Amino acid sequence: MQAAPTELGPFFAHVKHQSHPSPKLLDLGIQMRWGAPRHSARLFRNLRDHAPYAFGFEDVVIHEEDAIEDFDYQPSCVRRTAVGTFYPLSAFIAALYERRKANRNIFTALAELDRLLPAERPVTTRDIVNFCQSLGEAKPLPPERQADPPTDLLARDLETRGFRITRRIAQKGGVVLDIGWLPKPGARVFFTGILELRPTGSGIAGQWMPPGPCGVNRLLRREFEQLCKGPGACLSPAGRRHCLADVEPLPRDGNKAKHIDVWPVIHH
Amino acid sequence: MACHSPLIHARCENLLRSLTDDERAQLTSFAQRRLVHFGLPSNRDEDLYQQALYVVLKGIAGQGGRNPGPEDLQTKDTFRNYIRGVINSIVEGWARTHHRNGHCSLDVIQDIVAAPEAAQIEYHELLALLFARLRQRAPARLLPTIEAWEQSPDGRIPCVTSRKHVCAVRRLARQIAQELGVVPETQRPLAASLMDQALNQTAGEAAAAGAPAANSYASSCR
Repeated sequence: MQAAPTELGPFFAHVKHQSHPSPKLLDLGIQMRWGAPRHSARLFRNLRDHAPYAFGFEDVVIHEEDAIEDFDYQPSCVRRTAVGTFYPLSAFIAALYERRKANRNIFTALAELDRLLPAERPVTTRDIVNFCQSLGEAKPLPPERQADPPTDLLARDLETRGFRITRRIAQKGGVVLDIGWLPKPGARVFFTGILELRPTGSGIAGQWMPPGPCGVNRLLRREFEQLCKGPGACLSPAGRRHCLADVEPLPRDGNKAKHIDVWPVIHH
Repeated sequence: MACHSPLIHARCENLLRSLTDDERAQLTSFAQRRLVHFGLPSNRDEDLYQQALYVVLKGIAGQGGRNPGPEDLQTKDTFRNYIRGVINSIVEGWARTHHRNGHCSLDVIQDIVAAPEAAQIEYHELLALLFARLRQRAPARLLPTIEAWEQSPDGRIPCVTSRKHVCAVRRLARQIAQELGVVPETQRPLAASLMDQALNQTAGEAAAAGAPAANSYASSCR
């Protein structure tokens, strides 16, 4: 009889708060555990210099001594302090999965993390007006309730899984869709990717806009691709009407980008 | 070269305050298009725009950031064009990626401290030597952290007093570990099997010689 594979994590849990390592870094009182033997890392919140009140998943960082894998990251999300460098959690989690040091269902792991993290607080238009008028001196405004992204625009399997179109931007000859995943209504949206779709004579072709951030979005994108055959199959009939109704296809030689109608096969 | 004259400062502040809702919306939309171009989340457009304004304000206050020249402040249009340039520069920075070599030289010690009791017997002498030297050299304020580290279930140095103390213990431990030949002088990726092999050797050598092993770990990894 074959033994069930050990769940390597990542698992998230609240732990006792510790002192903040630097004025720009707050201890979140959350610990991540993964691997066998178990490793653990405390999670910190990296305060943005230009908007310390704002908070998103991309602001969650871990200490360099805990980041014990090779990984790609965006230096803009890194914080250097007297007690060491802090790296973005998202990039580290993606590396754990890619190196098979983590095997828990990514949706379950992110849903757990979402429950423990403080609420998302994006920078809004009101904040910018406030910033311009006071030249950055005014106190931050109270957070606004963020509306959930619209439903029924993606194919049924994708919608059931929790994927949503969070923004639609019309372009010449096509449309750009910001795809996100949310664990439940009202929860934070985890960015998945920017999908560019173009209607062609034979249907819809598309591509993910490269390079995108290094992080869990790459894992989510892979899950997204497994749930539908190709870019053309990801929209529901209502989604096609909503996203592509007013888009005029480009003449053949005007479309130089390599759009495809099936996802590229990535060998690991 | 940009200058920090009060005139430029005042002019820039006036221009920032005078941006209308339409102009703000245009700049935010520009930020959104740049984000999309790099495959980054388009809902961070306002965040990007605010960062651009922040670095300009920092620049004119002489605290780093971006310094607009007089030609950028001639008209509202030239100023908006300047802001677009700043947005472009920031978003390119956001899209840039680096690679981190994740293995740090203390992993080895952490793994030994965290090893199950049976495995620890093998490294008993090495650990005893390491912690004895640590206690000997560390100032009194670091002793609670060292004691907690010895008991730590996952091998990591826990923060019992302050994060600075954790760093100080880590620095000292790395120094002693290098003297003992447990970790190489330079940080680089390590294979787990080689690590075990090297640790066995180091523990044996240290016990037999009763003196610091000469970087046997580093040489066995090469």
